[in-house]
Amino acid sequence: MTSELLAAYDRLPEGQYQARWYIVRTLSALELREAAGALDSIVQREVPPERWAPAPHGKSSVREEEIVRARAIGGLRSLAIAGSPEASAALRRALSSPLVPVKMAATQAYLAAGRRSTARVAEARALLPPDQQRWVDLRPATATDLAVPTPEAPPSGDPSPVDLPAR
Amino acid sequence: MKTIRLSATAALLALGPAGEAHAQVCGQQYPLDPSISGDLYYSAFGTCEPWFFDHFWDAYDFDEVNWNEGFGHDNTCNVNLPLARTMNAIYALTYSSPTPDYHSSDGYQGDILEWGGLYAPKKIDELDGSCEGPPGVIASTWNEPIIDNLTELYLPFFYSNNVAQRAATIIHEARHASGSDHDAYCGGATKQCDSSWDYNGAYRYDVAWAAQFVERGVGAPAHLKARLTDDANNELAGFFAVDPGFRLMHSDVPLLADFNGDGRDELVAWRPDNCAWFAIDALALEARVDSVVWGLAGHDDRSLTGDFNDDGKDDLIIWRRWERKFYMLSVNGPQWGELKVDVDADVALVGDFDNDDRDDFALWNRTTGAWWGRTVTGSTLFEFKHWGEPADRPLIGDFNKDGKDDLAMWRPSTGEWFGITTGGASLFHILHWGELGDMPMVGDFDGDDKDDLAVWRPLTGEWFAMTVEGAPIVTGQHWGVVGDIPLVGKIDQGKAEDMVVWNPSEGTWWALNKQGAVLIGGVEFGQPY
Repeated sequence: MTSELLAAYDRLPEGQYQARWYIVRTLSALELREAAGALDSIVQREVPPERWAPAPHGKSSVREEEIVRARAIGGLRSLAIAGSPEASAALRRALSSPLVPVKMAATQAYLAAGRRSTARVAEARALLPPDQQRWVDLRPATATDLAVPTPEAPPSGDPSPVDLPAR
Repeated sequence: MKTIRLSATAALLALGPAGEAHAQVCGQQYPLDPSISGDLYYSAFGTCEPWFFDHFWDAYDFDEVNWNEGFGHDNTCNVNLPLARTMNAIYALTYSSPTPDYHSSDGYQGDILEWGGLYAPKKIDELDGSCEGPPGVIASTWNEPIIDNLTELYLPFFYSNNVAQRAATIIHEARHASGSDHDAYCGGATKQCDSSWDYNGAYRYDVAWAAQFVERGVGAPAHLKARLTDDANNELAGFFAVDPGFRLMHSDVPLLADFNGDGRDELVAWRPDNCAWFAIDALALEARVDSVVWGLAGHDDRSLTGDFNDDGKDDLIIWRRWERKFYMLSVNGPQWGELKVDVDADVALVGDFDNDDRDDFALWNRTTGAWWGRTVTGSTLFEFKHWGEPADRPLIGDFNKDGKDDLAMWRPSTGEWFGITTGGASLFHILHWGELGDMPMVGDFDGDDKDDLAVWRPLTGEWFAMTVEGAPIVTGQHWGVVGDIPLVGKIDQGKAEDMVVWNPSEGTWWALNKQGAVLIGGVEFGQPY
């Protein structure tokens, strides 16, 4: 199954980012031990040059490629936690990725795969340049973090509809 | 996603004649397939039907001139066209909250998943579709003091983004329409971003909405949630000048259950990403359940355990609140069942309330205080119109040793405990046991076959347990560290239950009995975050 999924990934045109991401997500979610090599190869592939002209808040093909690879890192993370040495080695390699978000995701995955042992944390810290060592301390968002201050309520008498129809 | 602040004149010039824009074919090389994008799924909710379409057409002030000639105004159910895809996004933004009554609110209540769908149409004055965005740009919002605000959606919005991503874009643009522009640059002069999370800008809005949608959004396909998680983490990594310091990370959910009926609990891990269950013997560390999938990813499922078939062994239970359904599966045979309960409950708990050796369900509505008790076949065991306050923490245990489980309530603000039988008779009222911030638990800590009342203090890792008569059993026992998840269960063959913690950072289990003997010390099991 792994080889079929990787072949399907390779058949897709570069610009079909969502479809490519979807295949990587499937490959990751199946948690197949033999998928480590395929996921590693996706992480390591060279990223094509940016396809869109720079524009403030424009879509970025490089960002799309980052997200595809970050999902592959997630797949490697599960396999590494389950004990796959190939996946662990792939994560360690990904700590050298030139893509910052991928490197950041790999750092978290590598730490998780080592169950954040003191030795693993020290190793990850040592592998990162000084300005990236704080990634070791990234933590899960809490409900408090994600709360958004409630905006001011709409003025009463506002004519535009507010009440929503029931589902 | 983009916001451009232009002068009123420049903004009007930039718009161009709308008819001209739509006269051309928007040649999109790779339109996202509607099955992958979630458009087929969301259109089934009736997003092109009048009850929905007409309301939101007005609410967002769509204009026909901007949505005709290929954009779908004459073909509103065609999920390959921009208008239907926009309506699907509006549906996801508006109706993903599991809270049933939020849609009738006339203000902003709860979190952004509740009020986002009300906020966006109030802030966006006009929502237009256009071919004419700069290449790669998804959306633009003009926010000027004199002219009406305007939000334009471009080809990548319709054809590169899935439904959930589009919904996040709308809430992002709504924040711009409220007057909050990006205030910093990240990683280059062209990459506008927010200075910080505290700036409370458009990126915070869409990341927070995405996080809530992923965590609690009802009925969304799992792959849309997974993709939105990846997008949100990418934004957290690169679209705040000061890194917020957190990411959307998920660990397994730890539980304790006796799946083989030997009187001892196994260590259980449930993986929300793919709903796979795993269990190992707590002492022998042998696998008892290995990747049994029960539940549906992305469906806001909650994992429970209990014996629903009277075989003396616990089973897997999924509570899907928005469907008002329980799904039960025996891990020891191909036996399964489901139960639809026609009650509006926030909380579902498991216990044997009629002493038939088969577990039942207790359901509680946090807002109204209503309780319902149901057997696994749906028979009514008890109903109360009101017991408990919204912030209370409900628990289940047999506090009078009659073989029937009772109801307990812990009030965080005062540390009070209340207990009643399912017949409504008061069992206890303890004025103070536990502090604000503690985590309440119930278990038989002294082995007398009567459950006791306990709290775990997250900041210090201390355990406190007392009988319902007020006799202390455990006082200030340190077990666990900040961030741990406490559980109570029977790890060895002793009569009493033990103190257990799971560390979600390491994925390690630790168990201690009340005599202070370590039963498990750092067993690695389950996926950490």
